Amino acid sequence: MKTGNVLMLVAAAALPLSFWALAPSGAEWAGTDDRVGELAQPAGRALLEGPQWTPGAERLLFFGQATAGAALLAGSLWRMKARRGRN
Amino acid sequence: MHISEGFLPWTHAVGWTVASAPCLLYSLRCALVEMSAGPESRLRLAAAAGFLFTLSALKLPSFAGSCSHATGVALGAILIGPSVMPALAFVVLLFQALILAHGGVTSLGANLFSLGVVGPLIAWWVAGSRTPSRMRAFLAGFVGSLCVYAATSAELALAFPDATGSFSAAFVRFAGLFAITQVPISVVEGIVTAVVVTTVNSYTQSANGLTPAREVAG
Repeated sequence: MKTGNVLMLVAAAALPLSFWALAPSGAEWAGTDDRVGELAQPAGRALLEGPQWTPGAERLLFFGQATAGAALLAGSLWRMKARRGRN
Repeated sequence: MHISEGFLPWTHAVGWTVASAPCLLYSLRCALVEMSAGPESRLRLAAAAGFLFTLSALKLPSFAGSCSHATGVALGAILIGPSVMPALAFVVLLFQALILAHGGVTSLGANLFSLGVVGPLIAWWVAGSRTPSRMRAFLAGFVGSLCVYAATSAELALAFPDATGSFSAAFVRFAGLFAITQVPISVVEGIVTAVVVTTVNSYTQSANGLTPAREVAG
């Protein structure tokens, strides 16, 4: 990977890491989806109650989705590079 | 950006579902055409799907202890075009609604409209080409991500107008809530999009001298 791309990825990782490092102690890390509830209350009826996961299990599932996506992306890039090599 | 299950009034839920359905059907057709167009098209589609799956699941830290996730809509919109994105976004949203209880079935139409239609269309327009410069790819990722949240804010403002009935006041309220968290995360998304777009284009174009169709046409 080119040096410029590596530097850009480092910058992309540094931004959220700096927020995490500089966050006030006891920060709750509420997501924006959760905070919408501060402005409005549900006005409809749930058609399907989703599974209730513990916070740890939920984090694991999100991480699993991200990992599967990253593997698909990396695999595609690897195949593209291999095709370029063959040609 | 996912609106939760049961959050929207049923008339809005039905309305957004009706608005998204034709986009999804057309997108599924485009995705099938893309898959049958050859190995390179399939690889681009897989890369776009992987990028969308990854970024839409990564909750990143942001200002003052808040967190949110990026959208990942720009890569597919740039590499393939916005027409396939509703199909990819539908898979992601359905997976998250059923397995992760993130988003929902009644809000699927509204979430699909913002993530699968509005964001990719704007990102594609900003990029302007399948081989954009790094800066344009960054802007496409950044603006595309913000527009997904702007669309979600509009959907929420339509459903929950201000006490005075004003849409614009409600839109500012919801957009303000999203913006403080989302702006830095959109910067991250823009950077990552620029890196992946330039990498993919360097692999595919140097392989067989491809010239993107839009550039030939334009």
